Amino acid sequence: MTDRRRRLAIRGAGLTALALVLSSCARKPERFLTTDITGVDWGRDFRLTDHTGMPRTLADFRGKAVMLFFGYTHCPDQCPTTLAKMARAVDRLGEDGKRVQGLFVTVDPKRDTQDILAQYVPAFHPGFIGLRGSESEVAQTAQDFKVFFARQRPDASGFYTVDHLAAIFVIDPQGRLRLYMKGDSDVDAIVHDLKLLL
Amino acid sequence: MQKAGFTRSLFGIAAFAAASALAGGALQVRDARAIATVPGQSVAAVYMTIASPSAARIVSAKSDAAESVQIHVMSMQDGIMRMRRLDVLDLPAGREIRLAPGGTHLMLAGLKHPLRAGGAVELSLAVVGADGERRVVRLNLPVVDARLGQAGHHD
Repeated sequence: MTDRRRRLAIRGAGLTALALVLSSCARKPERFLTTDITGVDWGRDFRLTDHTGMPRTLADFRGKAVMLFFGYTHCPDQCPTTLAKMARAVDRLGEDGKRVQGLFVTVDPKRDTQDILAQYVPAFHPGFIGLRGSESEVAQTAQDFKVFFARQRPDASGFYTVDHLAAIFVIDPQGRLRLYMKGDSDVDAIVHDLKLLL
Repeated sequence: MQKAGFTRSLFGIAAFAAASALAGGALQVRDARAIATVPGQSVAAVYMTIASPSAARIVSAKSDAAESVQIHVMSMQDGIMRMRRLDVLDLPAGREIRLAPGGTHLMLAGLKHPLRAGGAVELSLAVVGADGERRVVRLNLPVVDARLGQAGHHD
C-alpha cells in the first residue's frame, strides 16, 4: 500500500466511524424535557367523582394521555396559570389534542363543590374535567400520587389557604404514570413531551 | 434646571395619577390591575408596583367588590406552593415593591360579583407613614385578562 492509499484508507475508516456515530445518534430516542418517572410503582389509579357527578377512575381515560393537576379554586395565582398552560398545550397540539385529557383534582373539596368545579374547570378548556371526593377520598388520591397538601388554619373571617404540590402528572394512553412536570414548565416543553408520548 | 425638574414632576404626576390626592402624592403606584375571574372563582389577584418616598406600611386594604382584601405572599419550594397572609406590607423608603404573579399580591376574597376583563374595581389602601399618620389611598384598578397581565405568556 502506498502512503497515499494508506492515508485514504484511514480517512475512509474515519468517515465510516463518524457515519456510525451519527446514525446511532439519530436512532437514539428523543428525550423528554420534563422529568421522566416511567416505571414508578405509585400513582396507578384514583376513584373520584367528576364535576357532573359521575364516578371516575383512571381507566376511563385509557387511550388518551392524561394531564393530572391537583389544586383549589381559592388559589388566585398559581392554579389558574397552570390550568391555562395545560389548556394552551392541548390547543397547540391541534388534532392530537383530542387524545389528551386535562384533569383537575381539588385538594379543597369542602369549598370546591361539584357546582363550583363545573363552572371553573371547563372555563379553561371545554374538555377538561374537575374531580372531587370526600375529604378521605381526596387525601387517599393525593397519597397515591405522592402529592403533599395541607390546609392552613382559617383566619378570623374563616378564609384559609391550602399548601399543595403544584405539578402536573402525565399518564400515557396505556394508563402508566410517565412524567412529572414542575409547575413552572413552559407550554413548549409540555407540548413537546405530550407529542412524544402520543 | 428648574424647567427640567418641573417637567420631571409633571411626568411623575402623569405616571402615578392613580394614587389619590389623599396620599399627598406620596405613594407611587403603577401597573395596578386586578385579574379577571374564571367562572366559579370567588377570589381575584391584584398586582401593582408600589413605592413610597419615605418609609411606610400598608396596614389594611378593602374593596367594595369583595368581603375582604388580604395581603398574601406566595412561595414555591420543592414544588410545593404555599400562600401566607401578611398582616402588613412594608414599603421601605424609595424602594419599588412589586406585587406580581408568583410572589406577593393582594387578594380580593369573597367577591360579590365576577370580575370581567375591561371592567374596573375600586380598592382602598390604608397606609401608615413613619410619622404615624394614617392615610387612605383610593385606586381604581382596570380588570385585565391574566394573559395580558403576564409578560411572556402570549401564544
